[in-house]
Amino acid sequence: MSDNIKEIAPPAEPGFWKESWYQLTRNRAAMAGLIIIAFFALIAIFAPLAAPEDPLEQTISARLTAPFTDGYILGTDDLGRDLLSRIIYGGRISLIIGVVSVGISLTLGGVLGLAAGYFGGWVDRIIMRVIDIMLAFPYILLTIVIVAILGPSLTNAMVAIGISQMPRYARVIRASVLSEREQDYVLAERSLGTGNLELMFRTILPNTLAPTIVQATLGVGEAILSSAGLSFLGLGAQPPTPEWGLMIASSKQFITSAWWVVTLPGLAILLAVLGFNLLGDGLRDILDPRLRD
Amino acid sequence: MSAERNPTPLLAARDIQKNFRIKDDRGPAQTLKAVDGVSLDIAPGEVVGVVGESGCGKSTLGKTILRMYEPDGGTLTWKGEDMTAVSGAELKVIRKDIQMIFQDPYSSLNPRKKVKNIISQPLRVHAQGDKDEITRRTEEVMREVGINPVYGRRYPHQFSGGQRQRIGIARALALEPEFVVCDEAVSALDVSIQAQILNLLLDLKDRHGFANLFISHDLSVVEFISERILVMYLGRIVEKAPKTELMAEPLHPYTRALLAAFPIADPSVRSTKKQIVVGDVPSPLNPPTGCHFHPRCPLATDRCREAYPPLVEVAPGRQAACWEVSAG
Amino acid sequence: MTDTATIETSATGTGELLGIDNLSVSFHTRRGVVKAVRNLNLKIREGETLALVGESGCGKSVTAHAITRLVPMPPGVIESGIIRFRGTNLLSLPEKEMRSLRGSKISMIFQEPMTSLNPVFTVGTQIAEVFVTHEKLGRKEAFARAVELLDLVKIPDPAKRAKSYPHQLSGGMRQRVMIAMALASPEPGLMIADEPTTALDVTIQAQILQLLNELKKGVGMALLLITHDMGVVAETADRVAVMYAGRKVEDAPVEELFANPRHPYTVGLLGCQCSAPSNRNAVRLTSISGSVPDLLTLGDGCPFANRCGNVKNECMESFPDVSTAGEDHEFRCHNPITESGASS
Repeated sequence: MSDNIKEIAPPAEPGFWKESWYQLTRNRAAMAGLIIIAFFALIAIFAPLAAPEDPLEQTISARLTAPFTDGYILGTDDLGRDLLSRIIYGGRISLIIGVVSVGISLTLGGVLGLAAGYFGGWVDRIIMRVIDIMLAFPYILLTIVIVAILGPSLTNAMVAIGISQMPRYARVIRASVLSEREQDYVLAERSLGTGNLELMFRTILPNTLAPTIVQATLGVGEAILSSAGLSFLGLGAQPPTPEWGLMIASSKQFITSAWWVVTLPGLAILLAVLGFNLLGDGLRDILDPRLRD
Repeated sequence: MSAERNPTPLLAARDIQKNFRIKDDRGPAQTLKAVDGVSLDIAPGEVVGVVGESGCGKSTLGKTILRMYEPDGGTLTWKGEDMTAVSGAELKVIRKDIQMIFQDPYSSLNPRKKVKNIISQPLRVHAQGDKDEITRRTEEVMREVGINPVYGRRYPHQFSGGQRQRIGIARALALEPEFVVCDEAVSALDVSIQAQILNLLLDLKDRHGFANLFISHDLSVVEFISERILVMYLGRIVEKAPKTELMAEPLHPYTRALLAAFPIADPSVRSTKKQIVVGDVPSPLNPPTGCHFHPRCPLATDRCREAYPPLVEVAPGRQAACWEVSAG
Repeated sequence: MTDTATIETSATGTGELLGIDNLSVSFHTRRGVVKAVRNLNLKIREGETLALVGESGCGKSVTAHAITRLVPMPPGVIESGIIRFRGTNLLSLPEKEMRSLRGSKISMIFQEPMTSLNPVFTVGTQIAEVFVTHEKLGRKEAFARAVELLDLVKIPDPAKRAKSYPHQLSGGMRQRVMIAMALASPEPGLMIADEPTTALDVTIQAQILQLLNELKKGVGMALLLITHDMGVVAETADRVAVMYAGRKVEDAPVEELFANPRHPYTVGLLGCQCSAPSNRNAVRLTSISGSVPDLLTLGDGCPFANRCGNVKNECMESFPDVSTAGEDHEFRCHNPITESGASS
C-alpha cells in the first residue's frame, strides 16, 4: 500500500515536437530548406515594402534593361516592368498557390483516406478504386484536364492541382490509419464507448500527422512547380499577373537577347521548390520513427 | 452446464466462440478458432485467473467477453441480462461497468493525448457530470493509482512503463466499474514494478470490490492474484479449479506440464525436477484432432486421438477436459 | 593469435575463462552521459554458467555487447577496463581478430532469434556456413555436419528441418537453430545467451533451458546467461551476478545467493517474485518502492539508495567497496542484510 501512493516524478523526456525541432536544427539540408522557405515567406508577406517598384507599372523607355543598370537591380522585362518587384510579388502568388492547393488536397485526401482506413470493407474498396483510377492518369495531364473543364484561371489552377494531388494524401493517411487502428489505445478508447467521429478525428488523425506533414511539405514544392507549368501553358494565371511561370512564358522569345527575363523567374521557381523539397526530405528522416534512435 | 458456486453471476459466458479468418498468400482463407466453446462465470468481486501459452485464445477470450470482438457463437449474460444481442446505447450502458487493462503500457495509451485527457475520457464519453466534476474525479483517480495530478499535462511517453500502466489502470477505474479484465497487465513490466502494480490492483480491488478476470501466461502471477484458475490450451478450457487445489494437485496433463515447466526461484529444488513436456505448441490454425493436447501428452490413448473430451466435473468444484482423468 | 594483446601478469591459471576488470561503458547522448556500466568486475570460469541478473537498464546487455565488442560507437564509449578472454584483452584486439573470435570461441544467442537468422537462406545452409568459414569444409560435408548439429539440439527430423527457412520454424525451434549455430564453432569456449527464453512459452522455455544445461556439460563450454527471471537463474546458473543501474551489487554461487542474499536489492528482487517462497499465501507481495533512477543524473552514491529500506547517510555519498561473505560471495553495501535477515 505504502509504495503505491509514494510516486516518483516522471523523467522529463522532451516532447515529440520539441525533439523533432532539435533534430531538424541538426539536419543541414533541412535547415537550408527552411531558411529558403522563410526567406520567400518573409518577402511574400512584406512584398509591398520589399519591392522597389509597382510590379505592374510599365516603363516603355526602360524595356529589357539589363540587371544592375539604371537602378533596376534585376533589370526589366519586355514591357519595362521591374523584374525584382515582379519576382517578389510572384513569390507571394506561388506561396499562396502552394499552400491553398495543398490545403485542398489535404482536406479531400484526409477525409477519404481516414474513411477508407477506418471503416475498411466496401468503403475502403470504393474509395481506393477511385484513387487508383486517378493515379492511373499522368499527374500533369489530369491537372490540365481539370483546368480545361473549369476554365483557365489562377483559382481554377489551384483547385485542379489540389484535386490531382489528392490521391497521394489519401494513400499516405489511409496507410497510417490502418496501422494506428490496430493499436491498443484505439481499442481501449473504442471499448469505452467512444463514437466513430471522435475516434477518427480526435484519436487516430493526430497520430497520422507525421507522415502527412512530410507529404504536404513536398507537395507545396510540387504545387508551385505545377502552377508555374500551367501558367506557362496559359492555363493558370493570366497576364499581367506577376506569376513566375507566366513570366517565363510571356518573355520566352527574348531568351537569346535578354537572358534575365527568363532565367531569373526560373531561378526563383527552382529555389522555392528546392527549399520545400529539402525540408520535406529532412522531415521524412526526422519524423520517421524507424529512423529515430 | 456448469456447477459454478455463485447462483447469480455478474457475468456468465456460455459456449463462447470466436473465429478469425486468416488469409494466406497461398491457398484459400482458413478459419482460426481462437476461442472454441468456452464457458465461465464470474461472481461479483471475484478474481478469476486465465492462464495458457501463446495461441491458447486467452486474450481473445477477454476481448470477446468485453465485446471488443463480436462473438461468433454462444451467449454473454451481464447480471442476468443477455448482452450478446444489445448494441448502441444499451451496450454503452453496460460498457460503463466493464473495463479493460491492457498488456502493453506503450501502445495502449494514445501518444498524442495528455494524460489527464486519457484518464478523463471515459468520464466524458459517459457524461459523468460537468467539467469541474470530471476534473475532480480525474485527479482523485490519479491520486489513487499514485500519479500526482500535477503531471496530468504530460504525455504518456514522458512516463516510465510502470507509471504508464498506472495511467491505464486509472482510465479503467475512472468509472468505478464492477468488472475489470486485465490482459497480461503486468507482463511487460520489470519484476520490482510488477510487484508494485499487482499490489496496487489488489488494494484497489479491496477498496472498490470489482470482479477481475486476470489473463496471463505467467502462472506465478495468476496463482498469486486469483481465487479460481482456468487453464486454456488451443482455444479451450482444459481445467478449471480453485487456486489452491489446482496448484496442489493439477489434474489435466497439460496443467501438470505447465506447472512442471514453470521455473521455481529456488536452486535447491533443481534436482527434483519433474518431467518436461515434449514438442511444440501446435498451430491454432490447424489443431490436432481429438484432444488438442494428445501429441504432447504422456497419457494419450486412441480415444484421445479421436474425440475431444468434454469439460466435466471430476471432483467438487473442479473440472477437467481429459478422458484419462474423468475415467479416474 | 598474436601476443600483442596478451596481459602480462593477470589472474589467469585459476580456471578463469573470462575476466572483466573495472569495465565502464557510457553512452554520450545529447541529454548527457549515460553511465550504462560502472567499474564492473566479473569472472567466468571454464565450463561455468554465470547468470547476469537485473531489471531493464541495469547494464546487463551492455556488458554482453562490450564482451563481443558490439557496443555501438558512437554513442557508446568504453571508458575504462580490461576484458580478458583466456588471457587476451579483447578490448585491444584488432577488429579482424575479434571478428574471427566471434562465432568461433565466443558465440551469442538472442531473445528473438528471427532477427539474427537470415530469412532468405535455409537454416541448414546458415549453420553449414560456419563450418565453411571456420573449418574450410566443402558445402556437402558442411551441410551434413549442420544436420548432425540440428539433431544434437533435438530438432525432430533434422534432415528435413535443415531445408526449412527460419519463418517456417516455431520460436522454440528457431532458438534451437541459434544454439546449433553457436555450437558449430570449432572450439566453443563461451556462449552468451541474452534473454534466450524470454520470448518463448514456458513449456518451450523449460525445453531450451534443459537443452542448454545438457549441451554445456557435453561440450564443456561456459555460459553467460543474461536474464531478468530469478526462476531461470535458479534452474540453470552456477553463479549469479546481480546488477542494478550499471553497478554490480552482489555476486555469489547460486545456492548461496538465494539462501543468504546480503544486498538489499538482491533481497528485494528475490522477494518481489510471485513465485518466491515468502509470497506463498501472502496477501501482498513484498515490493521495492519507487523506480530505477535516471542514469543521466545518477551521482556517485549507491544507485539503490533512493529505494532502499536500509539506507544510511553514507549511501548517498559513496558507492561502497567490496565486502565478502564466505567463499566466492561478494557484495557492495554500506548496510547489508545480515544472515538472519535483519539489518546490522
